[in-house]
Amino acid sequence: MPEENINSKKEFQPAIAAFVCTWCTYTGADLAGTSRLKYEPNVRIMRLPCTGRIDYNLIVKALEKGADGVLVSGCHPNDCHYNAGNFHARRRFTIFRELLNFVGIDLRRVQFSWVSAAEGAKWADLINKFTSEIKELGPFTEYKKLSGVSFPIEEFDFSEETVEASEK
Amino acid sequence: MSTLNQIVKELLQSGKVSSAIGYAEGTIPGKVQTIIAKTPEQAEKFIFNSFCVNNLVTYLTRGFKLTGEKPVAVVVKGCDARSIIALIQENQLTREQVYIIGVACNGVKDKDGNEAVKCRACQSHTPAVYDTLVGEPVEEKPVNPAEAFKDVEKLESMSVSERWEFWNKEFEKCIRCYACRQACPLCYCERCVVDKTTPQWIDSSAHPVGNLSWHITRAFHLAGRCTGCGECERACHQNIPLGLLNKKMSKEIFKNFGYRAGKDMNAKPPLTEFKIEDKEEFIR
Amino acid sequence: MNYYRISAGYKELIEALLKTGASIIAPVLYNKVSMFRKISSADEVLMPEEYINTVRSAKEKFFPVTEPLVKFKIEGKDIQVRDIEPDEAQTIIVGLRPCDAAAFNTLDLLFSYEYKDKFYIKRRENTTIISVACSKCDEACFCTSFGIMPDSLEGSDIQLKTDQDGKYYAETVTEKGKELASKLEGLKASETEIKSASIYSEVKKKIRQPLETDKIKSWLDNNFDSNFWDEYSARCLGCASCAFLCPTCHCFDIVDEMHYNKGFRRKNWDACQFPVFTKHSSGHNPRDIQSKRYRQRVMHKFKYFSERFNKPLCTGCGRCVRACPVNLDIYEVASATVKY
Repeated sequence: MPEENINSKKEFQPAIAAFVCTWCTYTGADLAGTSRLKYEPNVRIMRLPCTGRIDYNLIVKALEKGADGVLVSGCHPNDCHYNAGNFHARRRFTIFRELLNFVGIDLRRVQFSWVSAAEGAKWADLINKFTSEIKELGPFTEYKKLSGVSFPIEEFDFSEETVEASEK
Repeated sequence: MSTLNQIVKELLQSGKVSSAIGYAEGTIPGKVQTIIAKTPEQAEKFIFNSFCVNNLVTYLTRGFKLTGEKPVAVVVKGCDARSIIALIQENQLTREQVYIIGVACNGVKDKDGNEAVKCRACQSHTPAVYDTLVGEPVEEKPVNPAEAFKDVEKLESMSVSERWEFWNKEFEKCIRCYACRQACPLCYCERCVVDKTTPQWIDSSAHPVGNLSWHITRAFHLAGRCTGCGECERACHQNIPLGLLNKKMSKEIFKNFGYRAGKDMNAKPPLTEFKIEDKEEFIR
Repeated sequence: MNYYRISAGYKELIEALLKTGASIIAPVLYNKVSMFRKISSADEVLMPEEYINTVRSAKEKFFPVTEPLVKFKIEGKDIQVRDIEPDEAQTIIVGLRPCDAAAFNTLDLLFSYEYKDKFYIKRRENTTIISVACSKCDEACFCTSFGIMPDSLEGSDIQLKTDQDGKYYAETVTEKGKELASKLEGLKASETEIKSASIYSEVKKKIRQPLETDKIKSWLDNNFDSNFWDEYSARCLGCASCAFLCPTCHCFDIVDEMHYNKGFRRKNWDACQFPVFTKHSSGHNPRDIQSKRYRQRVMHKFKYFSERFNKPLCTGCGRCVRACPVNLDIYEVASATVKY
C-alpha cells in the first residue's frame, strides 16, 4: 500500500489496477513521467500489447485480489497499433460493464479511457481524478468481504512455533 | 403423434439420416427422455408433448458423431431451432449435417408443471427453419416485448448493492456442478476455461469468489450467443435464476448492436466484428 | 431398541433438541432449495409431510462442498504450514430419511479405510442421527433394491415414526440415541415395544421392484466392453448433478489457492462425470467420452464398491433420478443390463 502521500497518513489509500495498452496509454503514462507530471501513486500499471487482448477476467481478478478501482485504457479509435484491437475492446466492454453493473458492482469503480502516446497530461489528470473518485467511494468492502469469506487469511495466526513444510 | 413417428421411421429406413434424436417417455411423471435412434424400429418411441422442454440441439455439440456422410435428424421446437442457427453461425455445424424435424409447439412446462418462463414471450411457436414440419404452423399471437424482459427489469430497478446481495445469495447455493454448462448447446468448448489450471483463472472451489467469477464468465462468454432455450436454468437443481444473466446480456446486445442470436444463419455475431461508429459514451 | 412416547409434536421436539445446546441441522427450504442447514428455531424446519427427500443430501455436513485442510504462508524460501482442525461441535441431524441415514454408513467405509479422514470422522463422531420414517415415496425412490425400507433403522441413532394409532414415537437404535432420548424434554420411555403404523409397509409396496443387484454385478463383471454403454448413456450430458446430489458419492479434488503469499489447500467436490476427471498430465484421457464416464458411474455403484466393501455404493434415494435433466435413470439402466 503506498504511503508516500504526505498529507494522508491516516487517509484511505486505494489500490487501483490499470490495464493499459503498450503503444498508446503506456507510452502516454511514460510521457507523464518524463514530463515530471505529478499524479497519485496508488495506481499499479499492467501493460498488455493492446486493449483488444484485455480479457474481461483480468478485471474480475483485479477486484478479487483487492483492487478498489480498475482502469482499462488504450488507443483512440483508428489509432490502434494492431488496427482494430480497440474497436473489439470497445464492443466487448460496452457489454461487459453492463454485466458487472447487473451483478451489483459499482461501475464507478471500473472505468475505461482512451489515452494516446502524446497525452501524458491526460493520463496524469485521469489518474488524479479516478483516484480521488475511489477515495470518495472508499474501499471496495463488498468484494473484500467476499474474498474474506473465500480466503479467510485473518485466520493466519502463525505466532506459534514455525513448522517447516519439509519437516511435516 | 403418428406423423412424427412416420417421419422418423421413414428417415431411418431410407437411410437418409444416420440417427435421429428425439423425445421419449420418461420413467417418472413430468419427465421425458432423449432417444437417439439408429434403427427404424425405435421410431415408435418418439413422442412430443408439453413436457418436452429439453433442447435436443445440445447433443449435436457433445462429441456426437456428426462427421459421418449422412446428416443427423433432430426434433426441434422453435426455441431449439434458434440454437441450430446459432451453431451454424459459429461454424460448428453446416446446414447439411442436420435434418431438422420441426414441431409446432404450444408451449412447454417447467419442473413444477407450470408454463415455462421462456414460453411467456415466445414468438417462435413454429420453428424458423426445418426440413419437415410436424403439426400445423401456429399463428403467433402478439406479445408485449416488455414481457420477455420483465424479470430482468425487476432486477435492473434494484440498487447496485441490492443486486450484489441478490446475486451473492443465489451463488451461495452453487455447488459448481457445471450442469448449466453441460446442458447449454452453445457451451461446446472442448476445454472450458474453468478447467484450465495453469494458471487457474477461475477458482474451482465453490466459495463466493469462485462462484461469482464462474457465473460472470459463463454469462459473458454467452453474451450475444445465447438463444434463450432456458436449459441452464432448468438443469440447475439449486434453482439459481441463471436465465436472468443471459437475458440481460441478450438485451444489451440487442440495444447496442441490434442483433439477436439464432435468427439469421448468415449474420456475424456482434462481438466478432465492430463498426467505426460504435458508441463509446462510457469511455473517458 | 428402546421406545419413547413423544408428548408434543415434531416442532416441539425440535425445540427440545435446540435446548440441548447442540448444533441442530434439519431440512429447510433455503432460497427455494430444500437442503440440510443449521437452524436456530423450529419454525425454519420443513415438516416431514412437506418433503419426500431434500434436493441436497446431508453429506455436505460431514464432507463439505469445499473445505480448507491446511493453511500456509510463503516468505521467500520459508514456508509455514498449519493444519486446520475440524469443528468439534456436538451436532444432531434430524429429518433424515432412512436411505440417507444408511448412506452415511456407506460413506463411513470409504472415509475410514486406509487413510482416516479426520475431517469426516471427527464430525461423524460428534453427530447424532435422528431419521424420520417415510410415509410417502415417489416414482424415483428405489431404496428396497438395497435392503433399505421406509422404516429401516440402519445408520440411525433414533428414528421417529407413527404408531398404529397415528401417534408420533421415537425408537432408539444405538447407545448414542438412547443417551440423547433420555435427555430430551417431551420424551417418555415406554416399557413396552411400540408397533409402527402399517403405512410404512404400504409405502414399501409402492416402491419400484427391487433390483437384482447380484445379477447386475455379475453382468457388470463380464460386460465392460459391451455396446450397452454407448446405447444407454448416449444421452448423458455429463452434468454431474447425479454425483453431486448423491449421498454416497465422495470423489474430491485437492487444490491450492493463494492470495498473495498466503494460501489454503482445499478439498473440493469432484465428479467422475467431468470430462477432465481422468485427464492425465500427458494429455491422455482414458475416459474421454461420456459413455465411458457413465459406465464408470454404474460400475462404481454396483460393482467396484461392493467388491471392496461388500456394500453397493447406492441407497436408492432417487435424487439422481429427480435431478437428471435428461431422465437418465440409474434404476432403468441397471435393470436393463441383465436384459441386454
